Amino acid sequence: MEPDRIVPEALLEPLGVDSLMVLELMFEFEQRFGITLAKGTPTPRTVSEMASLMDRLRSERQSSS
Amino acid sequence: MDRRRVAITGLGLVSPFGGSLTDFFGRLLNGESAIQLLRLDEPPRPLCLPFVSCRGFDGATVLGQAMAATMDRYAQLATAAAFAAWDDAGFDRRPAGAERDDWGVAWGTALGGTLAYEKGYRELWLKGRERISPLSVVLGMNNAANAHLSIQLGLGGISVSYTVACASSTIAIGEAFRRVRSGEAPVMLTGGSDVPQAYGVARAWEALRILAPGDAGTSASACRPFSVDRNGLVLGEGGAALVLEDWEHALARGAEIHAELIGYATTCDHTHLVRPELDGQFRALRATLADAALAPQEVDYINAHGTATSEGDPVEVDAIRRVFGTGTSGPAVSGTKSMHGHLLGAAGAIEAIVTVLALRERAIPPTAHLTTVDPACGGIDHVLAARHEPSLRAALSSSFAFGGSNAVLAFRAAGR
Repeated sequence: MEPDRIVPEALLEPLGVDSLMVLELMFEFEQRFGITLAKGTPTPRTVSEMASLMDRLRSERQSSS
Repeated sequence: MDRRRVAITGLGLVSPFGGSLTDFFGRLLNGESAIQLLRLDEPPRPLCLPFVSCRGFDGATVLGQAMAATMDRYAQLATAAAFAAWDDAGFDRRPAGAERDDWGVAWGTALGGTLAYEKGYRELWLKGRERISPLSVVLGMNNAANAHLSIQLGLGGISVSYTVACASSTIAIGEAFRRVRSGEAPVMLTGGSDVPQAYGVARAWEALRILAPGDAGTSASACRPFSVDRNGLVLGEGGAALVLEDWEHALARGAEIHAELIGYATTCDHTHLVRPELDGQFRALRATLADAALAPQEVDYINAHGTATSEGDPVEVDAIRRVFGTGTSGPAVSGTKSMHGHLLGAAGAIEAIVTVLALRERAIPPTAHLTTVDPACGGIDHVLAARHEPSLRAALSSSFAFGGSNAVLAFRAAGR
């Protein structure tokens, strides 16, 4: 895949990141950052939503440590 | 009922020897064993057992990282074998197309994605994690293999898996055969795959006390069907696939036909979970001959179930004698699990491929390591060394499963 397709507003699905992969990525975040996502955490649909989620989780971890 | 003839136009295998189908069959004719000592170095204690591994098989290398990541190893083996069979049949791999809406898949697996489930158990109980991978369900489910095959090859008809222990893929092939023969599907992709080396699964089989012992020096000859010194079965992992096709459909596109599938029957002993019964096996053999319209004397070869257990082998030989009579004038019989091991849900498929290759190549592989036939397994024509049989016409492949399910397939050489 061309890297220039991965822009903030790009939807994940057309990039080949389907609903199962998003779930797996969210699981991976939990493992990597040692946190548990709240039940109501919205599923990211775009690259920027995914990035924001990661940023939020990282900052939450830093502030709690 | 109008019955269509059923051609076998594709064969595919993840060979335990690591090479091609031709290499695989050549090694069987030479009596070579793929069995090696496997060591599972897991807590609470390591397990060592003679086993057949597809050591050279890496799903990510063969299928690509993205596809392999959504599959347990059992589905990776299925897909690799099925792609090989599909290519062999001369079909293109593509995931869409309405013209394949009545083409289907019937797959066999005894275990499904046990490695995926076991990984989850480790996370929960060994590592104390509270959550496991969200892919666990779709990796582990028993219909994962057939689902992936339908998606990858654009098959819009039936997509189903059969879980019938050691008869899983024989029954899958047989049920696929019926779909093509009845005219419901012009093409059916079928076969089986299993991966019994999940630690808990291997330990469960060990607890049954029917696995052959062996060490690094003796593992290759650990499985000795029909032998007086047989000492149990050898498990193995693998994937094997066949493409069944309406005969006229195959002729119309100029496909090479490896052999014809002409009969199938399945019965149940209905007596005991694990003890095999003569009557159930006899009925399966006889019903298959009737379905194939074959007289006993027309059968030249039987690829036996032959697991090398003390209980199983004599019952199978009894059933063969009851159908074909006692003596060496009956069909040649060999148990090729002595070389490729017992692949559980893939056993019937790999043995169907061996049987088809025997008919095509006019050569019968032996029961390896069979030097002294157990008197309880005598009275039939055991193949002790490879035979070249120019007039080989028809052959059977049998599977007799825990649960009492028996299944037999009948094949005829193409053009003979």
